Amino acid sequence: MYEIILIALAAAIANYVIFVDLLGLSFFISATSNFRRITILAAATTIVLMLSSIFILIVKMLTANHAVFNLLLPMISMLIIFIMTIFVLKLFKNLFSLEFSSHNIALSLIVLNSGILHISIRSTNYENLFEATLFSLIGGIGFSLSLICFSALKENINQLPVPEVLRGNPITMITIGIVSLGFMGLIGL
Amino acid sequence: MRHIGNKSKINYVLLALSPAILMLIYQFGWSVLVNLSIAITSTLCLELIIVTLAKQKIKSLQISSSTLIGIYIAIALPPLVSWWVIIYATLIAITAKNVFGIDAKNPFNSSMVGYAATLISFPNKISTWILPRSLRNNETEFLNLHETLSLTFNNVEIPDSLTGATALEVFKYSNDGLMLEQIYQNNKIFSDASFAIVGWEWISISFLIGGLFLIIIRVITWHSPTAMIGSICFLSLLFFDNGSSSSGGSAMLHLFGGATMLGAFFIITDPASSPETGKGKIIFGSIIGVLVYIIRVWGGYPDALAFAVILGNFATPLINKFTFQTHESKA
Repeated sequence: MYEIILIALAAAIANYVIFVDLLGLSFFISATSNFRRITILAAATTIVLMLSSIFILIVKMLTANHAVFNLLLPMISMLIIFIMTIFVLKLFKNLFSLEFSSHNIALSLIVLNSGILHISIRSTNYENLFEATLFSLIGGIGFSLSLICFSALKENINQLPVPEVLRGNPITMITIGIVSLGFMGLIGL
Repeated sequence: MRHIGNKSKINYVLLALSPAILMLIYQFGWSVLVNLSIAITSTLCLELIIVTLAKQKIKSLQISSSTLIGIYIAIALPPLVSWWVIIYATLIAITAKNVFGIDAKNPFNSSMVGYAATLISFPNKISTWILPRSLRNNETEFLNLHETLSLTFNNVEIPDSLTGATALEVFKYSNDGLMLEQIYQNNKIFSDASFAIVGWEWISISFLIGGLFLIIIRVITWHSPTAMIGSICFLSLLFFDNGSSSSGGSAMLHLFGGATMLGAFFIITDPASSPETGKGKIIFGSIIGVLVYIIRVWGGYPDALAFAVILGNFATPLINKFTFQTHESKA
């Protein structure tokens, strides 16, 4: 029980690969300040993350004896994530009648690939399917939470008298930098 | 309720900090004054440069708020730290203050941003604290002003007889399988104390006095300090584990050992970067308290205030949003 709590805590706050490795940077830049939209997108990310890490783990278990597949695992993972992303986005589009433009889908795909690939490959380090699912679910929730926090922060920053040269993406990058300073404190957990 | 303007609020905060500054000077000697003067001069100069570059005129509010940033950085950095470390910290803090717009409501606590960046950049420089007064030998007890200045400016190694681990560091790094009581007996910093930690207990008490003064004259509200201290107390009681070798440390250690009191009453009550409603302040304070405890006990750094404050500031807009929404729906 203690171990599971530890995994959950680590996944939610400590293994903030997204900030520390700057993987999901573009996701944060593209984060809108529309609260409903960002919540749905965050939920979609969590579901994609969970589903893809389950599938990747299954593939890994099935191909454990073949060395070639181990080398190909990142490629296979990307393919799985790609399929899952399209599936979940289609699903959400119909469920919530959101209008995702093709640009948005492409952007999310690129970013989801990098961010989710990291978390889902990490979660395949757990041999147990339950632990991997838990890790990816909680990791996804942590990611969603920070995404929602960031969109609220962005909305706040849009109202500030930011100098003209820094308005838009530069101030977003600076803000991410400051936030990642905070997340640096969580290393070693 | 009496209304106090922003400018006089900062003056009251400066007044409330004075007992703690006097206590720091008593414990650590001239070096605190040297730190303060370098930091304040540096913040004021940098602020002036940035405001001039933006072709604006400097206002008295900006002067007092950047003085306050300088004081916080000087207090947070250890005594006898090299001068360029202080300049580095103030440079980042003032940049972080003005990058969101001069005279704007800064979403992050700039002094903590400066301190956190310095802590990550020069961990060795920041972790060497000199011993509080009563733990030092007689011969090294008093460094005069000349010696202090030469240690600060000449980039000389601080003599080992002067330095020592802080209570949180002792607790974190000498904790290999020892019971809490054994750690307390082995280390003078615990065993010679009157009720918590030698030297630090009085510094924390003076921060507490200053903070209570601010609450009484209604410059700050009680919400966030109570929430932060309460959550740290709760967690340290929960994980105290009867003082075993895996104990998270006593509540006394966590309340009086590090920067808890400074953070609770001065840093997290900063009006610009903390939530606006009372409920929001309680959530904000508890988030910071929990993070401070988690990083101190299980994380990689002995003290955690700066990181916790930045993460708390990160969550502030969301907290504001939710607490305002509930307020509107009630009305």
